[in-house]
Amino acid sequence: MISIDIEALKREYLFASTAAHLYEYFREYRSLRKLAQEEKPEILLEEYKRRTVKDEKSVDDVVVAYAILITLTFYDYSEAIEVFGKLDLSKLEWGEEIRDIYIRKARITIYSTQQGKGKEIKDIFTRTKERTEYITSHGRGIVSDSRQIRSDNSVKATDISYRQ
Amino acid sequence: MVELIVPGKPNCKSIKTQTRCRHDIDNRQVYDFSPSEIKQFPKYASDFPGVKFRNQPNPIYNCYGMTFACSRTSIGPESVNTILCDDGYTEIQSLNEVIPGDIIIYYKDNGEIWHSGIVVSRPLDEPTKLPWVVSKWGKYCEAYHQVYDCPYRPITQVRYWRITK
Repeated sequence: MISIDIEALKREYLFASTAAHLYEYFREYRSLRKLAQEEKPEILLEEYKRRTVKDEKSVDDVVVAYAILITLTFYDYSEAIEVFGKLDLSKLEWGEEIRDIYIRKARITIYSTQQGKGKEIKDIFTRTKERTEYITSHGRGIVSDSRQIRSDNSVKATDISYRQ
Repeated sequence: MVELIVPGKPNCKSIKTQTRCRHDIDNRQVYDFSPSEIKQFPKYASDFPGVKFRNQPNPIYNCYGMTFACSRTSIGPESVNTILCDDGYTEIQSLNEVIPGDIIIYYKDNGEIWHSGIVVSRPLDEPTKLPWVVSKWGKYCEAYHQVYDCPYRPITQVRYWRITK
């Protein structure tokens, strides 16, 4: 059983016209970010199942279920995607859309290591579906020119970690 | 026929909806509603004392469905630009030229479309001279409100449109 203060979230849910509204507004709540730090994904997974398995869900059930989906978006990308894959998102009107928005907006940080050329980490860049930005490149500090995407695999990503 | 509606359980249909140029518009009639949800609405609507709600809660259409599809269905914001283009809308450049019947679209700072409504009055005797609009608030009611008095934030830009072609 997880603890979420859902009063404010209820208002956001009731006035939301689209999944994008729900996604943005719920993510503003620090309590969900905190929940992501405190609870393991397995706990959230169980709570989601418990809230959505009922035929007659209360408003509280629905809001908590959405809150869990948004909480997942604060986990590491790979972890979040794994848990999303275990959830029956069709139980909620916007479940699948929330997941799709997350995937579209997720910022993946990639540490690219080239071995044998002196330095271990040559490039760090973040990538979303729509944009790639270099944080460091060849030790020259911040570079944020999205035109520097290398599509020819000249940056070989041998050590990849993900974070939101 | 009695249809059991429970909150959060997808129960959706769609109808044939097209622009003037016969582009299909994705839409969804949402029946995802329950008496327990209806009971919750007034509590949160009271946060907006200057707003008049003009009908009963109705989940079938959203703000874009009200603005562009005669309140028959829900439309996603991704269809709005297609509708504006196909249906011959022109942006009204000056607030002074806005009149009842014009469409209002709310945008976020990144240009994302965030809400929409219809201008129904523009009281020139009020200090702000800002338009009043009717817009649909989620699954709740149609609301008659001053342009910025609504729960949709952050709004960094509003733009007005009218069919001119």
